[in-house]
Amino acid sequence: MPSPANARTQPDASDAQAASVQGTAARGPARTPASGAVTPERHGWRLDLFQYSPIFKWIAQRRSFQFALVFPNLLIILMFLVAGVFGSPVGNRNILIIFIWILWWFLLISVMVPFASRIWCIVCPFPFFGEWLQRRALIDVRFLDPKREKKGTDGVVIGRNRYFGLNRRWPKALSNIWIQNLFFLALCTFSALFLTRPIVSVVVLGSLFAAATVFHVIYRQRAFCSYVCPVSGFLSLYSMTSMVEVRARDAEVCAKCTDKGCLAGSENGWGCPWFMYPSKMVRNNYCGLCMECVKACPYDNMTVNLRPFCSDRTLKGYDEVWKAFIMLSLAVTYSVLYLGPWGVLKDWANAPQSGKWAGFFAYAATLWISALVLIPAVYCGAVWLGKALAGRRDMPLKDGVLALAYPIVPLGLLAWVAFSLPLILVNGSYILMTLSDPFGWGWNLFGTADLAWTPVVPHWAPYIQAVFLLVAFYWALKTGYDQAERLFGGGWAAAKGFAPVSVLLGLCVISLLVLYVG
Amino acid sequence: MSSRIAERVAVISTTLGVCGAVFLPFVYEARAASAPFPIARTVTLTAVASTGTWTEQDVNGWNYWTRDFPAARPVLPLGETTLLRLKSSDVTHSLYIPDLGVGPVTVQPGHVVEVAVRPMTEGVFEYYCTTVCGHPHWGMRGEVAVQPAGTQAVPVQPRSIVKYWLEPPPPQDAGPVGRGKWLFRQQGCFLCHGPEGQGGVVNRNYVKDTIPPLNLAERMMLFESEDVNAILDHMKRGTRLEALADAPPVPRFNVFLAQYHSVEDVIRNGSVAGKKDPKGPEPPLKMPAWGQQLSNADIDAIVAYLLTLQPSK
Amino acid sequence: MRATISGALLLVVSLGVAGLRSAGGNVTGTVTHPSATTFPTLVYVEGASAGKFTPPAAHAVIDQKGKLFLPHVLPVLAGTTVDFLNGDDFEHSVFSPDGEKYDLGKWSKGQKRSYAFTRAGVYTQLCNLHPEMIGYVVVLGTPYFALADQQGRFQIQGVPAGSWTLKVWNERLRPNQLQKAFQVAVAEGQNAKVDVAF
Repeated sequence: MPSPANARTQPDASDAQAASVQGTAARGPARTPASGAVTPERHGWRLDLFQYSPIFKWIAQRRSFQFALVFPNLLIILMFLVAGVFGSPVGNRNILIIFIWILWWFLLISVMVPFASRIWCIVCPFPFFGEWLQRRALIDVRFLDPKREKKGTDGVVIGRNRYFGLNRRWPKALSNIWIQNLFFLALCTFSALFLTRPIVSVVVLGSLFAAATVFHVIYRQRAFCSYVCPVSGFLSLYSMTSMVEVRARDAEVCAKCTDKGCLAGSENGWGCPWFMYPSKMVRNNYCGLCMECVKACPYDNMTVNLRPFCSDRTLKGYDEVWKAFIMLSLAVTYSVLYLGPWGVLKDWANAPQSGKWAGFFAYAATLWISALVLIPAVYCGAVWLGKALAGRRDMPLKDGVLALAYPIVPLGLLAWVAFSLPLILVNGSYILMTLSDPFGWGWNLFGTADLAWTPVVPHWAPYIQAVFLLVAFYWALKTGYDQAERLFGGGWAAAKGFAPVSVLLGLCVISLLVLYVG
Repeated sequence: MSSRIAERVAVISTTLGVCGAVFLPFVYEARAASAPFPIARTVTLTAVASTGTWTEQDVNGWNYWTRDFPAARPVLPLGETTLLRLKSSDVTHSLYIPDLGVGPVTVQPGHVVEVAVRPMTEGVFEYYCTTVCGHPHWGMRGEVAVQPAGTQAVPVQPRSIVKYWLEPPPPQDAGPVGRGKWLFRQQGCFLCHGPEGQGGVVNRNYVKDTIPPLNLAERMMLFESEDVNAILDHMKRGTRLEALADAPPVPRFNVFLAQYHSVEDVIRNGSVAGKKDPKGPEPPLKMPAWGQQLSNADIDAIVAYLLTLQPSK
Repeated sequence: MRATISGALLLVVSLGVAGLRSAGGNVTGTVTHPSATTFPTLVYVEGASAGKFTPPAAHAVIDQKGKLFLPHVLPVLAGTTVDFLNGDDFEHSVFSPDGEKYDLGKWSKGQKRSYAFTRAGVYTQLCNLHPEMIGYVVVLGTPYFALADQQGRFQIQGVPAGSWTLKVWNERLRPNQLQKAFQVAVAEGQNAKVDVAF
């Protein structure tokens, strides 16, 4: 493996062997310019994981890092797709349904995102073939040395890397997550269809696979992952709460750097495929943890930090704010639909089987209108009211919304975890069953195929859910109040400004508690 | 290792891996399926709830939604052991072959249940499903033929069931008779009672051998068609029949009313099929309880429809 | 079988009692009506000119076997008690919506319930669990009655001398047909013949 040949390491402030924990005082009223824009600041402690664990750093620096992680996942998803087409049509007997919609989903929302940000994006097999076609390499870097090669030959040059395919720029108007918002909402509206029918899941996942490949050939780098993939949509939002981040270690080093390998690529790494400028990155939202910047940086200045929960607090656009509204609405809707006592709603959601299309349109319309119009309207109204109470009518509503919509992010995440928990407790035994008999063909690979369906402590589920909801409420209030302080200044102004929103958050938590615990 | 070698290794392992992931499961399945059984002959029957059939065809995630599976008519060799491999492609089913002493064997989806059968009498025997699996459940029956080994199977016209349960509901003005007719078909009643209520389906060890015809009009003392029409008129108008006791529209109205309630109770609560031979097997077909699925108005509609069938002499 | 025997016994006893009064004769005839050959048809003497008749001590019997009431029609003298048996391996019930109405509840094989019929009239026997089961107990004021055979021929024995009104009953006759009266005169020690035609 080529090591960064011309790596020039600036002396670090801390000892290389000792773990460095940087703490910054982030309390107290921040600078509030006249526009009321919230300055992104570092909250809380950081633990530099590359210094804490040199082995981790070594692994991340291998060129084969990404391939080694994606390859097994690719084989697994291919087998799952085969199972979906040729295996049993019974949902709970097919490894595709159980491992993806129950196991993967639960791990994603409860473990991967809160603790490891967008780690799924490294191992995701969907862009595998597309990226292979684009890069014409699985492990190598196509480096264009400006001193030795002319530009414009063979392929498209972006920065100092060479790509194949059309490499068109993604349209500026679509350079937001609105496509993902609507796509995810559409998928969830029809979720009852594919969550239980393997063949429909194959169509959905297969289409994503095919679309990713096609988009990679037409557009640059990870355009599909950044702007189209529905999973990416909510990963981007919730990774803000994550306890892991990829950041530049020392801002001074970056300021003096003329190479900009993290952005333009180098002989050791591709330029950031997520359209980020890693050295200036201050949010997790669009970083896919591919570690190319770690390899490409000539000064070895990119690192992975451990940090407190909910460290990224800045929402940058209405697309992200609406994502938060959509996810919260879906958490509530799904709780009512799948965990609630109103069976007729399930019939409506499952219209192709139940035939109740009128009910389905009612359900879909309610979902879309609540997620896109009603809940945002009520919330923005609360923000406006808070602004008025705090005496800041002069502040543009957008600033208030962008700041005070943040509490829904931890609230939504933990509400989703609370919703997913009974699914795994109740259906988790199917995981062992399908492991032994993935296709429902009568195999018994590990001897667990005949396990009876065993719900695990289902009677505790409501209480565990209640705990998560209360933790969610705590984080929502905490981050919300911090945001209010930032917006309105400290003391009573912040309390008054935040009060209406906090009431809404409380109502939301109470209704979910009532639904789950009864 | 140089990057070139690493890249080559990656490409080769990807190619092999992709092919393996796609084809390996079939290779494994073929090996497992061809493992020698101690019993030479196997017949695989898969239950499909949507068509209401036990089929000998292969059912998988793709064709389950598209194919119309015909009922199996397996031929078993006389005096020899055959292994029946029973699978379900969707919900829990049961296989019951009362004359061959098989079952009822419950088959859960995803599991394969193996039953060895050694038939000692030649003939054609009915098989049934005895776990309610959907509207077509009541038609989920067929025949097993037992013949001496080596003889040609007698070609038989496959029994076709009209999928009445897929019919759309009748318009509002069809009245109770139209609605009752649709319900009678949609709920699968016709599968045991016949599309015209004529019955005739064999019910092994049932006290009356076959399902009797539904001559409700006669049982309700409505011997003339004018009596039937008088009652139907009231039902179309939505009159409560109990309220007509003072001005009875038909002779022996009190008996009619008592019978009407009894019939509705049977539809609502179901009925056990009496055994002809008390030591014999349980009759596979019995009247299920519809009270949870049909409203009182629906049951009235079905009775109204049945009154129009089988006109009494 | 038991029902027929007890029916016959009943007839003999009641006739014996009646015979003490005045020597009469038999009334024979044929019922001509399509339903007479398909449904059990009862021909009976209406009312009584003298005194009451003592009901028999022995109970009449109706069994339920093979989901049928056996016999399908049981004529009894008013005051007779009828035992309802159950010869099937599953429960039966007996109730009647006619007359004063009664419901004997449900019982299983081997058990029996009884009911004393004091009022004259036709009582339809129904089973709540099996609406296809229908039977009749016809309670009459005199012991002078007989069930016609498959060809419609009947013979009422020991009818006292005098002028009598005969009526016919079967389950398919309309009310106007049930009202129809046939006059018969029985001379002492002589048999009378009557044609019952509709």
